Amino acid sequence: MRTGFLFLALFGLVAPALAQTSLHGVVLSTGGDTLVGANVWLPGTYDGATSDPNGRFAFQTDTAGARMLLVTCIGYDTFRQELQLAGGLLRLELRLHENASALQEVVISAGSFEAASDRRRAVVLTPLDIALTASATADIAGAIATLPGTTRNGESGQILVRGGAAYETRTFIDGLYVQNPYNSTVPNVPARNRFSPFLFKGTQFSTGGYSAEYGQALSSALILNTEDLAPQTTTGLSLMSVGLGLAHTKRWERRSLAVSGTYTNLSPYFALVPQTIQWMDAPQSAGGELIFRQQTSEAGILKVYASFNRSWMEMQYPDPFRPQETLPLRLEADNVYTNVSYRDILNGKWILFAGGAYTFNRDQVASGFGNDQEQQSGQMRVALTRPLGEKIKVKFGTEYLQGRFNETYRDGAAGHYHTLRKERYTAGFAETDLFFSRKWVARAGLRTEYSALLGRANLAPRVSAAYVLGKNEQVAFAAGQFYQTPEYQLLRSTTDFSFEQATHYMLNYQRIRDGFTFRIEGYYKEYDHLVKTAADASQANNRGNGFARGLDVFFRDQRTFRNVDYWVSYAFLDTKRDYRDFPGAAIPVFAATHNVSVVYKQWFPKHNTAFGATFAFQSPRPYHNPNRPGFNQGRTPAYNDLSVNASYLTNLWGHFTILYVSATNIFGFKQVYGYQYGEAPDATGLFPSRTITPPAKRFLFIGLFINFGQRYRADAVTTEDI
Amino acid sequence: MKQSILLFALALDYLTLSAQSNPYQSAMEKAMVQIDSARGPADFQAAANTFARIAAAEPGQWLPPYYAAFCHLIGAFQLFQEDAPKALLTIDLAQASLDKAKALMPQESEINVMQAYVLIGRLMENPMAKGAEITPKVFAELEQAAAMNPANPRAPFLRGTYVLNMPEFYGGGAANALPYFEKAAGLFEKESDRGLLPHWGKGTNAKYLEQLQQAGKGN
Repeated sequence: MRTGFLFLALFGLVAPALAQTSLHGVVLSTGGDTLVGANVWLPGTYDGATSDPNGRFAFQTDTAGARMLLVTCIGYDTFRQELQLAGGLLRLELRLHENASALQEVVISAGSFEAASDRRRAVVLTPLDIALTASATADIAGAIATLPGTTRNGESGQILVRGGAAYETRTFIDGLYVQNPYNSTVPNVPARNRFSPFLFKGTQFSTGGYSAEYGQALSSALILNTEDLAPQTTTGLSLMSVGLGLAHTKRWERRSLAVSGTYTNLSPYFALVPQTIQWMDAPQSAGGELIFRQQTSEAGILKVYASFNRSWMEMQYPDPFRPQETLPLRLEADNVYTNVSYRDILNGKWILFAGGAYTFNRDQVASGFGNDQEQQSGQMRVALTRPLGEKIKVKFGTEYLQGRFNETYRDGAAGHYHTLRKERYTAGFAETDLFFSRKWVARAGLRTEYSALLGRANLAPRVSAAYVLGKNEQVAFAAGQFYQTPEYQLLRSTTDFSFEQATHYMLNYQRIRDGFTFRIEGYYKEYDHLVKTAADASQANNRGNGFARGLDVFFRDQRTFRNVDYWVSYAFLDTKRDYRDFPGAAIPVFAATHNVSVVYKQWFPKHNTAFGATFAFQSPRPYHNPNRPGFNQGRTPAYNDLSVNASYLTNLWGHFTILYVSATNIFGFKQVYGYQYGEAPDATGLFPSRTITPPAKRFLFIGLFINFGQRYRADAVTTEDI
Repeated sequence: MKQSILLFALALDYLTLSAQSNPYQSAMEKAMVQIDSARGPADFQAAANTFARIAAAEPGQWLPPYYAAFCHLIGAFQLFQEDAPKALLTIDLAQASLDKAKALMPQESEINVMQAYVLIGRLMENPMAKGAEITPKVFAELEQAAAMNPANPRAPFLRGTYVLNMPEFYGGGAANALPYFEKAAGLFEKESDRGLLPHWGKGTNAKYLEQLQQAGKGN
């Protein structure tokens, strides 16, 4: 009895141990990969374990009966399974589904250089990258020219992509097309992009195959997304070798307002550094800018941007008949640009975008002739995006643009010409992203456009897809059709044209890991319905065509050397086209076969200085020599450039200050952009010519940027990690 | 004999019961040992998982989600070098855990400190681009933490660490960081046994303080 009781007591003590269940097992993905760090547990108890590097886990529990087993793991859907716990050993093999949205390793990459939104580690050009790229002199187009797929045309300063002319690249700000992204200028005096890189938080540069959201660009879309609320109240003063600027930003809790004014005048600089152009009135400009942001809800934001600018210059310009001689030429230009947009999430599901933009631009040229060009456009855009579950996202929208082109040409002898063209353009688009798995994404889109000016409509399908090969590497593919209304300047005598057309195909491989980026992309682009001009304007037609094919290679390393970031771009281009006044298929003057850029940046923390250097090489470009048989048969010398810059960060009387110095072509390479020939032979029977070169061998820039009462700036280096 | 055995049995039973009557306490103690012995991101993930389990079982306690956030964050810092995207997702988890703690304990100085710490984690993604946006937020959280509880040594400690890593011309550097470490050291001395309450930072603070004082003597 006694022993019996003792037994009972002891038995009572050990009884719970017999009800204990041991759970052992392994956590796998549905694809069979072992998952590390998964939390395997019985909710409501403390019992559970974390899977080890082999995906294995083991734990005991005292609970019994029907219990839910829960497994959570980063990048995977939560897993649930009902268990019967009745003591003993339970072996489990748990398979988790990849979470399509959480870890989107796969990103559509063909044709696109995307500045990172927060998560995507794609190729990035941040505002700071642009500012610190030597040779760009803080110009967006200048920095883009260091990416593969572009050709430098120093005489225009514009972005040229994959054998496309400058007009084939269009700029979009917050989804809205920008009519005049560059300053007004005359041929062979390079333009700059109107917009400061610091306006934008994201830059997406598409070298082709871009989304159906955008249209009216045969080759390329430069998609700029503006900053949200300004981070803080600040006042900035810029003192530059070319002018000065003053800006004030005020930040409230949910809104911000920035107002700025800039005046630039190149005459002091030209007085110091001799120019090949004889200036009577060096380029000057005065402008102002207003940026307003209002946060309307958790995700809602209203953005208003407005700017105006007036610029003028007067110079001795090459006579078109006797290029060695010059005639006075004056350019006066006015530009007003406004962009208003609103973005919000509706019902927690729909992302709404609504925006409008208005541009007014007038260029007045006075020389032996007078030419006034006035162009206006007003546009609206509405787009809706909605995720349907985790695997599908849809986006659709519509655009409307009303444009007006008003030109007067006066020539004392030849008379007076007037052109007025009005456009009403309507477009609709729909696109869907399909995440088949974490490895596989495809995007299919359709865009349709109607131009009242041409009286024609088009339908442009676009597809792209990306597949993850392994950790950090993927392949992508894109194809699509792209249409563009011929430029107003081609529509002076007739509007009986169809859209110019391009078809893109591209295949891309990229590997991004630990601060290294490597990508290689091959492409083929076919042009059709390009406008052919003729001496007899009535013979102009739409029967031009052409092709471009090539290979773009990009390598960027932000890791190997401490405080050093560098990238190397190489582009091979093979292109011919028959368009405008070409007698047949030929290489256009803006195309170069080999294009190399090496961009280097280093941050010296002890000296608070960032240093940058850019080397560029471009193989010879064609030019047309009328003194020899053939067309575009001449070749310029190869182009070489080494540019440097340095930014020194300091405090001046307690105010955060950046001293910025840059110089292009420090070795003074002779850079030849082409040759200009007279329109008629001279007395010797030959067409006279002149060499088109930069206005000076080098361009030096010095700027001092002071931020009153500030120690921190969004566009400033704030730690050693550059 | 019989009675003594019975008593012995009851005593054992009582001990077992007492341990079971506060399983929260013992689970937390075990989990905190897990933090102390953690070495790499995988260990911190495991510790965070443990706290997440306790948090789910004890929905009224703010410390389990607080420590889960802490473990995710430390793991994320260690992950940045090898896998930045995963580190960023881990910081999201830290923020999510911290939000749970915040909802349970809105007026807690330690939570503001942890919020500042998580923001510093966010900064790691791109210090150049995010510095201007995040730095004032970090300082605001730490100032609020110090206002709520002037005796919290982790507010000046974290501030000192941040200032130490900032360039001098922004008001950073050793000389500017030193007063914060000194202040924190005084407060750490006064901090008595905190049990399960947050008590991290003392050793690191002492290490930094010593380094800075040594460097100061050298000059």
